[in-house]
Amino acid sequence: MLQILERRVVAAPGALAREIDGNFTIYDKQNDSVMVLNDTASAIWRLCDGRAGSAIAEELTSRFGGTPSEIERDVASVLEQLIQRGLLVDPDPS
Amino acid sequence: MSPKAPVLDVELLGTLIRTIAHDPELARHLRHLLEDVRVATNEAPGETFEITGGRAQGDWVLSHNERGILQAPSRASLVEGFFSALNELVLDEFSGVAIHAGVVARGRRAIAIPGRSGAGKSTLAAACVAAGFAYVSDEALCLDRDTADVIPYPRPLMLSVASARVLGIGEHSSNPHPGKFALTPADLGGRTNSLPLHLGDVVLATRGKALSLEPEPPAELIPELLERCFAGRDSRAASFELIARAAEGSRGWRLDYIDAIDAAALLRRTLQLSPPAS
Repeated sequence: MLQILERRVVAAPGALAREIDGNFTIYDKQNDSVMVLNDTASAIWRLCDGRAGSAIAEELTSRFGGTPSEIERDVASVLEQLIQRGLLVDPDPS
Repeated sequence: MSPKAPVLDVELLGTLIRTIAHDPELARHLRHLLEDVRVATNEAPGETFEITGGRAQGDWVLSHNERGILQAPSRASLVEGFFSALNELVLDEFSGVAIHAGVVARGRRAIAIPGRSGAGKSTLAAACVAAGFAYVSDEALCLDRDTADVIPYPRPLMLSVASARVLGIGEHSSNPHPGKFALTPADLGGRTNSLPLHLGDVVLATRGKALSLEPEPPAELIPELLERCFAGRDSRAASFELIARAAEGSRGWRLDYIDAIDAAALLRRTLQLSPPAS
């Protein structure tokens, strides 16, 4: 699962995200569905600007402390779910 | 049309509607029910309902723009059909986003209780009005497309006989009409809010569980509201954007209840509404 941390990610073009009271709600145009992110997933989503998952994990570790390996697992788990749902994509698909 | 037929002009969600009821008793009844949205206008309304009949049993006819749309066996049935047709017309014409919900107000804050038809939102809205909240709508949370403000849609409350019993409205609880009947907020001792509001609170209500009211993260409101969105000329994505904008700064609640009157009292206490002046 941790291999996913090597991937660079951005919000998919069909994902509309709105932050309300610290949490992101994302509307998926493709599937007409809505997903509400918890605090951890919202913090990760905020950093999905084209950087790699590993860089997101490093940034969260430096901001909030904690064990790097645990944070890497959390980031990998969230990215996997968001990619699977088509809400995150590679910024430079080849 | 008879030259003396009573004419009633109303405005709901920006649509101007003329109603002509030839039966004097029915005309008085409709005037009472629509008092809060009545307007005086020189403008010719684009929509006209006309109600004829009443001389013989079963001959009530409702027309919309000179086209017959309903034949009803009784006055009560005609009134229910009239408000159903009015509702359909007004929401169809509305340029913003409408979401199935009962809505009441506390000051300039709208309190929306989203729910499907039959979920008890009219009963809960009526109980809230009787508890001192101002009435906004028992049918729809209507959001202005440009400002995301809540636009009042104070059609008469439509209640079933079962709801009347729950609310202790004696004169209607033995109503022989099997459908719904119309009431004004004033009939419940309350009042109507006619001004635009901001969305202050969204209450996700579930009937059938012990009374409780717990905070809900505002982000969780968006899927609930979008699911109950039923009118909007914009795309679903635009509706999402508007709903999210309206929900910014609002509070979310999850309400479990069995008795609508108890639920309204709990909402009044929790949302810090002053008790109605005695």
